[in-house]
Amino acid sequence: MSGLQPSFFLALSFLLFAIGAYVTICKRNLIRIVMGLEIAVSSANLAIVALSRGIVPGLADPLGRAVAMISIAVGAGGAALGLALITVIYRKFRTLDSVKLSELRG
Amino acid sequence: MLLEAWLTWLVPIISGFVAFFSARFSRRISHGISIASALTSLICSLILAYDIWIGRIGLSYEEKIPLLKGPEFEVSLGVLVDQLSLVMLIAVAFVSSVIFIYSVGYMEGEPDIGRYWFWMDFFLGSMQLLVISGNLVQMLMGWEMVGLCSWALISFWYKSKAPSPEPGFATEGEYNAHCGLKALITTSIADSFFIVAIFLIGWSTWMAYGRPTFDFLKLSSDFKWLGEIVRTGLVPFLAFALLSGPLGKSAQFPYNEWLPEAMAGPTTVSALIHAATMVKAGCYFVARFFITLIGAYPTYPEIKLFFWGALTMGAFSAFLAASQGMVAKELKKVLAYSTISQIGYIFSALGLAGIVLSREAFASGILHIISHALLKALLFLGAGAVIHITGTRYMYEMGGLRKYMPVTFWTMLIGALSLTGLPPFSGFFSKDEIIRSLYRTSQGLIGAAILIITVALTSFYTFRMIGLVFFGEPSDFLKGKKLKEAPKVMTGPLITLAIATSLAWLSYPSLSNFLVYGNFPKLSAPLIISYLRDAFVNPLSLLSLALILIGFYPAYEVYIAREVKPEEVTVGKLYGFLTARWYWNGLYYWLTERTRKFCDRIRYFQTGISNVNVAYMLTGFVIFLVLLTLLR
Repeated sequence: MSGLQPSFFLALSFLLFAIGAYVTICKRNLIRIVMGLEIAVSSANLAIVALSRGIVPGLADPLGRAVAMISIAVGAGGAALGLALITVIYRKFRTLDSVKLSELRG
Repeated sequence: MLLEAWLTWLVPIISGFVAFFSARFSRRISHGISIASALTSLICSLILAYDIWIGRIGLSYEEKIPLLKGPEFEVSLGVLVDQLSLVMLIAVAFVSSVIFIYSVGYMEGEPDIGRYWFWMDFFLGSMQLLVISGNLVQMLMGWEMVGLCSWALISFWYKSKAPSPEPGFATEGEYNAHCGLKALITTSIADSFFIVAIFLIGWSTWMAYGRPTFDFLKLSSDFKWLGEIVRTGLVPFLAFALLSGPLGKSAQFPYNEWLPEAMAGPTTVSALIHAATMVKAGCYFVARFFITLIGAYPTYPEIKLFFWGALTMGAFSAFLAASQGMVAKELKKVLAYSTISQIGYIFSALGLAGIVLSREAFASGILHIISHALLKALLFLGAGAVIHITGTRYMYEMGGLRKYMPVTFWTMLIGALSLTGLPPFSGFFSKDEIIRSLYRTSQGLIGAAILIITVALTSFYTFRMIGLVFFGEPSDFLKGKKLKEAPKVMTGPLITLAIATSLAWLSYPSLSNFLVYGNFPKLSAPLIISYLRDAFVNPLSLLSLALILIGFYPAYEVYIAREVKPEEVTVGKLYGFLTARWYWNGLYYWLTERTRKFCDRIRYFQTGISNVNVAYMLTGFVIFLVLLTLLR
């Protein structure tokens, strides 16, 4: 931990988020979109952990860690929900292409 | 806890649900529960009056249960019993009870009776909730509930497959649904401003006291919050936004266009909307605001702008709607226009009360609410009986019903005389008092002139309606129909209301005293005599009687004696202008059409592709972040 500054983790988190956003915007397969979302959630978790190093050197802020834990759990729940929706969508429409699934077109 | 105060609105709301479910087993139980709930509400209001009479509770009695509680913020559900809410409670409950009893006859054979009673009971309960509320947030709740009920009841017959009365709709049901939505949308636009105004009041109290409050009693105890608004220069905005809500609910200009369309619903619904619940809510709010701010006028005269708005809009609407009522073809539409017109009188009186700080003008406005509630319920129920028997809503398809429906004719005539303001019916006393109080002040002089001209128009359209429906020979449409008097369950309420309309004025001197000073002098001969002297011995009431005659004469010639054909005396251009409702209705439809076209153009932004939506969301997020950093 000594060599790496929080800014490094923040940069990494930003990079991860950018990848996640890119995947969610540009990929048409729903499974990939969910994967992109998960990457974005992980980037947020990383940022929380990185910023929760605490005031006392060497000791972590337990609140930040706890928030990160909860966030991971919620993220897992979100992924599960997304996958469940994907299963249902596939059964109903026989496709996972998000462009073909656009029923709410104006 | 003062149980009767809570039960006034709880009983109707709860019995709405009960009536809905019990209608599946028996229509009779459903009828019984609803009528009993309205009567309970009336009895509870009367017990409240008795409590005040014997001194069990003082005036401005308040109770509340916290609904939302934060460290610095509290919204409560409560009751506030004072002169104003008490008088309104009794008037609303009485008129509603009569209308509910009448409904049993009018809705005979209606398959959806459960839905009907659910909304009717809910309507009454919401109105009582609004009237008895002690804070603005609860009032807003009742306000929106009333709006929702009016939407559901106006479009009650949305399943009807009959041909549409207006062009542009496939069936009558579609037209009814359109009318309900028109009412809902118009009042919602008005309410959106109203909500902003309530937030503004919350913000100003937050600035002044460190915690937002909406309680009327707190708002009226200390006017530091008003000082905040004056200091920031937001008074014109507050006056505009706060007045917008009442104008929308009470169908005053510029929100007047929804009320004539609201006639699509069952006649009992129209009676309830016009006499007791919906449109009276707006007047009630203006009166409540006047009472709340009564101590503030010397320090902050700026707030009078609100009341100037009420006076101007009221007087203008009174004239506008009366002129439109002169050419209406449907029986119920005449009554709708006359409601807008009469509510205009009430708004003028309440506005004047705020401008010159006159409690007498305020009392005259409230008394006119009562007169109007009684006479309009009577006229609507009479119209309902006529429509029920003849099967048409157009006045030109009626005629000569005087011989066949004598009870309806005489009761409706009493209502009509009260509406025109002929003594000795209650409409005369309250209407003339409004005109007199306006005339006495220099600020209200123009308003008085407009209102007194409106008296002639009122007289014309009222007698035109009576003449077309009851006089002359039966039209071709009625040939071969079996015309008979309406059933007893319908004529009973008519007679009750006719008696109430004829005698209500006897209580006006005492009631006026009660509203102004809070004590209720016993009914006595000297009091009545001095009241009568005030009412008759002045030039204004003679002038208004003369104007009634001026309006009556052409109506008599053309529609009652039928000596002159209407076509001979019609001014074509003016007639077109009035039937098009001064072109305002067309303007509103044109505006909505433009909005729809505009939305058509931008709808392609919504692609329905989730990737694009995410991209929009992220862009918005980035813009938001940039703005946040820039504003810091």
